[in-house]
Amino acid sequence: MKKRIKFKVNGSIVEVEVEPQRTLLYVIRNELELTGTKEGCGLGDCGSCTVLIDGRAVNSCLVLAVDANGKEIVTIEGLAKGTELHPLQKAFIEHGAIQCGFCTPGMILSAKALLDENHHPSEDEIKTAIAGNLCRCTGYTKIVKAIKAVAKREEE
Amino acid sequence: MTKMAVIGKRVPRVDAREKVTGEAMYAADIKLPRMLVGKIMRSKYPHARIVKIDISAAVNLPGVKAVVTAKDLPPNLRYGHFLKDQTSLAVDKVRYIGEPIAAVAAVDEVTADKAVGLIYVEYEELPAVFDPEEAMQLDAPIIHESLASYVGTWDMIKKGNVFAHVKLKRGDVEKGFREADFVFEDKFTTQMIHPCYLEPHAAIAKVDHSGKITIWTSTQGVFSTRSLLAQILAIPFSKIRVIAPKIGGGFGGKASDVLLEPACVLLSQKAGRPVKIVMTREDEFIASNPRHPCIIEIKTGCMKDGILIARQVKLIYDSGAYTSAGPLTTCHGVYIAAGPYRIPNVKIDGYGVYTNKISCGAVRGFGTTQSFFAIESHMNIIAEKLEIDPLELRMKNGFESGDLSPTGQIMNNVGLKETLRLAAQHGNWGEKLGGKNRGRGIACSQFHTGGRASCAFVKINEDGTIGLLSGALDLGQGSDTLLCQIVAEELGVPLEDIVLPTADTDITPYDFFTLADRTTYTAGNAVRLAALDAKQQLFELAAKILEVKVDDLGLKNRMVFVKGKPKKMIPLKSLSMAAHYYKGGPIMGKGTVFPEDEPYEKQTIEGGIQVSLHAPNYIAQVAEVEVDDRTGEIKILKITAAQDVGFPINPLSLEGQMEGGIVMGIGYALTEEYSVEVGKVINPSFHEYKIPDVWTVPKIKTLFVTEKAKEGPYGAKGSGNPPIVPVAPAIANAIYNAIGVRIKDLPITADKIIKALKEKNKR
Repeated sequence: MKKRIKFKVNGSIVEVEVEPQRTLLYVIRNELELTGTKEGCGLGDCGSCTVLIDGRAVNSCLVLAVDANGKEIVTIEGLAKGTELHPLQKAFIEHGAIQCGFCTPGMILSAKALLDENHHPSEDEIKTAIAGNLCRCTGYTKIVKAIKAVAKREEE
Repeated sequence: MTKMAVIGKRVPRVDAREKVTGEAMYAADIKLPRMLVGKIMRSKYPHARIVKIDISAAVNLPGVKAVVTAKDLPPNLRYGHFLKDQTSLAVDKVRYIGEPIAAVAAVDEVTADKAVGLIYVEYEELPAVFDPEEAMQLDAPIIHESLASYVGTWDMIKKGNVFAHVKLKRGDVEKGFREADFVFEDKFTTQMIHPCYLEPHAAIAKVDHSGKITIWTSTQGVFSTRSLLAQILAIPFSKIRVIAPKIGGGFGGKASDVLLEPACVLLSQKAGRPVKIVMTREDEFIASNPRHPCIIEIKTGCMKDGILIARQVKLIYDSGAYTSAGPLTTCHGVYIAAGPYRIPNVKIDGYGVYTNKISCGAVRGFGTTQSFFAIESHMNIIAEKLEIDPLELRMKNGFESGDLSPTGQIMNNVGLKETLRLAAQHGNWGEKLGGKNRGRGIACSQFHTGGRASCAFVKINEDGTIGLLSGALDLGQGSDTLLCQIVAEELGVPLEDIVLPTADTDITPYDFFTLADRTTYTAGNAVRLAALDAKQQLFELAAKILEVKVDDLGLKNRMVFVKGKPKKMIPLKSLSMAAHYYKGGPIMGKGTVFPEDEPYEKQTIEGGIQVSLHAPNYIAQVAEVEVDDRTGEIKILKITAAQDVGFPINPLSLEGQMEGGIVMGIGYALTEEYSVEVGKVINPSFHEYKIPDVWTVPKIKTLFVTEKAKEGPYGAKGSGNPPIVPVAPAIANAIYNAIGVRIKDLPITADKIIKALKEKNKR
């Protein structure tokens, strides 16, 4: 039987009826049609489906949609303000931290969760924050650089 | 060369904004009205005869709209890129666990999954063979009984389970061994790995009333997909439209086969509704195209001073159940199995062999990651015995421009030695490395730039902005940005003035494929020619309007100007307006390219194809490692890589290619490996099959060598494949340098280190 849930997604209140076994990822992609959140494995191994729940980065493929009831969700679509990109989005572009782009939304959201909580992360803290986000294209080097650059800017 | 505005600059990706905002649409993101969910039913046996397939229960399940089997395919048609040995749904027999047998389309995923479970297949199990050396025995079970009658792109030497025996011969290898001061023999093995692009395969098919098929699919080549589909479905190209959405990585894995498209089309035809099929990660591991495992036996004769005089190599590529990219992979391995070295006597035998496992395909560095692990490990074994520095041994024997390859091709624009010098210099080669159990290793490799046809159109819009039509695909490597840079440079416009729609077989002009390092080189050249053609037409029109000669004109900042007369100019916009509304007609440039084969000696090769190598590209790497001799754990501290890129059109994206390739290479060297037991993949997920995460990444230093390719755009060579190739041997050599053990079987795991250390201590 479907259950009615209500949560905040990218600043707007959303109400949907979902089957109890549905994952948050499924609801985000199929019901809300926010396809920026990607499915790379469906098992919580790759981080492509990362979203923020109450500011924490989580694999949305491992969360039941009903458990998101009453929570605040941010997906990649919620980062830019109008046409103004978030500093992390800009840094990823400038530093060449994107190739195929499939891991990018999750990677950026994991970085955002870190920087929102810790304005001056060390390189190890950055690595810890994105350790659950796999990228096969970039070799991570430019991703770490991009996140560092934003952290540094925030320091100034 | 005159100063360039956009070429050679660190330009961010043209599609970066849509990728950071989540707007970029990949195949799985597409939703069509009335779209159904498709699922594939796969074989549970590695080798079995199909006695009966009963789909009735699945067909009768409410919500199921179509079920298809091989009966829905045109009869007696086999397909394949190089050897037509495959059907998209199994006919009579299955040859690996995971082989597609049937497919269903239903209103939702749960129903589709249920329907798959309701398809009943009666099998008669057959003896199976999983080891390629066993498969080559005379008494091995035969996997393809009709191999002899299969049609190939070229005449392959086939026997039993060997679908291609490729032979290369130069000089007299036996005489060389007799004359040598030393002869070295080694055997190496490399494992099966998956390309592990983050985006799983996905396809959507829609068939309209006239029978016209439209497919959106994650592919490395829309034209090759169309061509294979036409073969499989026996319909003309005009009835098939293939569109590429954004592609989430490929590394060769989205080039080897059409894994989903045929079933997707059949389902859509039957159901009369659009159908989407998305592979799970498990599907990817059990039924897409991993890298060939390989057995490499290498024998080298050399003189006391380190000069190599003879080399014999036997390569056995385990291709799995079907050939896919196997025949060409075997060729690739063979052509460069002697290494980038001057050796007068060479004999190479490469075997592509069927086994009852997943079919292997072309994965980044295909054919060569395997052989170079052997070659470059073996070179260090030789160097140690001769007491020659491994760098010096490579410098003594390495190719220079003008040298002959074993196939008799004159090697041009060879940057090998400069890559070695530069990597050694920046990698502190020869300096002491402090710390316990630390070591340095060096390795180099050769790949080449792919050829074949590319074409492009450059349209000048009414307002002087530009439409670029190319059939080449950006899988993430950054080619779209490169192609736009070329147009921007040649037509003097900023990048934002250029629109590059995605590859679409009904609209964009032909491009052979995005693979084998060919896009920058061939599509890049086609785009450059198209831009130059458009420029010529613009100048002809401007010359009339400005009443000057074409040769007097230049183009920059959206203006056609008269050289030496700074005030005499006409905006591109006005010029194109004139062409559209006043005189001459709209301007459209065309570029079409087919790189000519470099001459080679035909008698050196038997049973192979595509012998001529375009713009060979080189890379050298120095790895620094630390080994924990109690746990066997290996830590990569630093990789210094110098790559001969010809000319760096976009240094930012080239660094990205190198960094990504190196990290992928670390996975190949240390952690990645399929576990296959009795034909079944037992680690089909990212928690059981470990690809590098951010913690794996060492310090990486990337350097460019610019030995320009004479035919490449601005001198550029292909650059995506080389970075992965020498990583594993550089690491293996560094481990030897650190703790004195030589691992000859990839991946180099902690267990193997501990075992080897125990054996060493016994001695």
